[in-house]
Amino acid sequence: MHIPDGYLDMNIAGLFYLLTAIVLGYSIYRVRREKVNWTLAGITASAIFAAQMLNWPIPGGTSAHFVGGALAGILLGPYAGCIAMACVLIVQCLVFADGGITALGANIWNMGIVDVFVGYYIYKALERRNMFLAGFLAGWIGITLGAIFAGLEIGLSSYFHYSVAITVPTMGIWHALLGIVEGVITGSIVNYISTTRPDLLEAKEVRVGKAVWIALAVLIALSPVFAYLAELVNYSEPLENVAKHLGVSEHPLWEGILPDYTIPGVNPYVGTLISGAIGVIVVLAIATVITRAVAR
Amino acid sequence: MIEKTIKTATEYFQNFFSYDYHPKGFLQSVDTRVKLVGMIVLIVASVTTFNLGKILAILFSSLIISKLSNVSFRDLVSRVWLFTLFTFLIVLPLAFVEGFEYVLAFTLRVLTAIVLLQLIVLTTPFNELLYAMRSFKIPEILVFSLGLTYRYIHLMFSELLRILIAMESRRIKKMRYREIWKEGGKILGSFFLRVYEKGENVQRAMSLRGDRIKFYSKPFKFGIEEALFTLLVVFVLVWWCSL
Repeated sequence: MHIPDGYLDMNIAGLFYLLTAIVLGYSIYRVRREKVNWTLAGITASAIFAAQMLNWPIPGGTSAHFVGGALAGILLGPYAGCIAMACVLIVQCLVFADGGITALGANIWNMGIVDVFVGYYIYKALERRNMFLAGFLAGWIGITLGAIFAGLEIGLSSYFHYSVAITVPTMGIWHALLGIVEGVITGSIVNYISTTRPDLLEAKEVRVGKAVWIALAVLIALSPVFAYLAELVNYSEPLENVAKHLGVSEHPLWEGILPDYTIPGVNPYVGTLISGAIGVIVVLAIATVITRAVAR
Repeated sequence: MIEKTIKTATEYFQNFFSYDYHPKGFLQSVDTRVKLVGMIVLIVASVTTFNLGKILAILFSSLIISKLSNVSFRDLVSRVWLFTLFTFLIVLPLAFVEGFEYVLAFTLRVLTAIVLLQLIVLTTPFNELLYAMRSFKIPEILVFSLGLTYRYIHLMFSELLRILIAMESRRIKKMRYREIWKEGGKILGSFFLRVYEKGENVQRAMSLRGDRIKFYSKPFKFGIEEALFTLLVVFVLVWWCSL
C-alpha cells in the first residue's frame, strides 16, 4: 500500500503533505499538552515495524502482512498512535526506500491517519459490546478505508492513466479481503490485552475538544475549494464517462429531493453549495445518532 | 510462518547495514541538509515530466553520482529492479490505449526516482537524517520518536522472534489457518505487552536522567563538496530545462 514516487501528481502529493502536516502537528500538540508518554510511541512504532515482518499464511499458499495502524490508535490513543505510525512510515521511506519521498505525505495520511483515527473511533464505539469484534472491525475498516484513499489519490493523479473507477475498486476490494487478516490479528491482540492488562486499554479516552469542531468547520468551509480543484483537473464522474462512451442516457425513476446536487430554479453553483451543506448536515446528524446509539 | 518471516526480515535488515557498505564517496561527504534538498529537487524533476530525454538526463546523472559515491551498479540494480518491474507490469495494459512511449516514460520516471531515493539511503547514516530534520525545524517529539523507532527495531524483532521460536518449539501438530491466526494474535498480544512495559521502563529511565530532550546537531557545512554537489544539481536542472 506504500505509494512510490512517480505515481502522484505534485498538487495531490502537496495537498496530502499539507493535510498530514496539519493532523500530525495537532497530534504532537495534543501529546505535548496532555503529557502523554511519547517514548511509548517510538518504541511501539519499532514493535509495529517488527510485527509487520510477520508473514501470516492465508489460503491459496500466499501470505499477508500486518499494518497495525488501528492497533497503534487503540494502544496509544489516536494522537500518539498517529505519531507512532508516522515514525514507521518515515523510517520505511528513508531507511528502506519503501514508499516514495514525494508520496510520504499521502502514505502517512492513508496508513498513519485514516487507519489510526478510523480504527480508534470504531473501537471506542464498540468496545463495550465485544472486544474482539471492536478490534476486528477497527483493523478491517481502518485498513480498507486507508486503501480506498490510496486508490483515490492515485486515480485522481493525471500521471497515472487509470481512472478512479479502476483504482478505487482495485485497492478497496483487494484490501477489504486482505484486511480480514488485519482485523483478526487486531481483534485477537486487543482481546488478549483486555483480559491480561485491561488498564492499558482504559486510559485512552479522548475528548473531542473545540479544536476538532473548528477543524471540521474549516474543512466544510473549504469544501468549495476542493470542488474548484476537481474542476481544474477536469474531474468528472467515472460512470458518467462510461455512459458517454456507450451512448447511454439516464432515465431516473425518481429525481430525488435535490436532483444532481442542484435546487430547481436556483443558480447551479449556489444550488450545489446549498445541497452540499444540506448533505453535510444530514450525514453529521445520522453519524451522531448512530454513534450515540452504538456507544450506549 | 517463522521461515518466511526470517527471510523477509533478513532482506529488510540488510538495509540497516547498507551505509556501512559504502562509507566513503562523493555523496557521503556532502552535508546531509544540502544533499537532501538537492536529491529531492532531482526526484521532483524526474517525476514531473514524461519527456524521455529529460528523464534519461536525470537517470544518467544519478548513475554518475552513484559511481562517484562508490555505490556499485549491481547493488543499485538489485535494490531497484523489483519495483520497476512491478510498475512496468501495472502500466503495461495502457500500452494499447496510450502507446508504448507512455509505459516506458512512466516506468523510467519511477525507476529514476527510486534510484535517487536509494542513493540517499545508501549514503546517509540515519542519525545524520535526524540532525537534518531538526535543522529543518521538524518537531523534537517526532524526531526523537523516530530515533527511538530506529534504535529499537532490532531489539523488538529479536524479542518477537524469541516468542515465535518458543511457540514453534511447543507445537506438536500442524495447525490450521484459524489456529495459526488465533495463536498468532495471542503471541502478538503478549509481545505488545512486553513492548509496553519496555516503553514504560525507558520513559522512567529518561525521567531519572532529567527528562530533557536535547538533540545535538552538526554545524552546517558548505565546503567544496557541497559547492560541487550544488553545481551538479543546477547543471542537471539547466540541462533538464533545455531539453
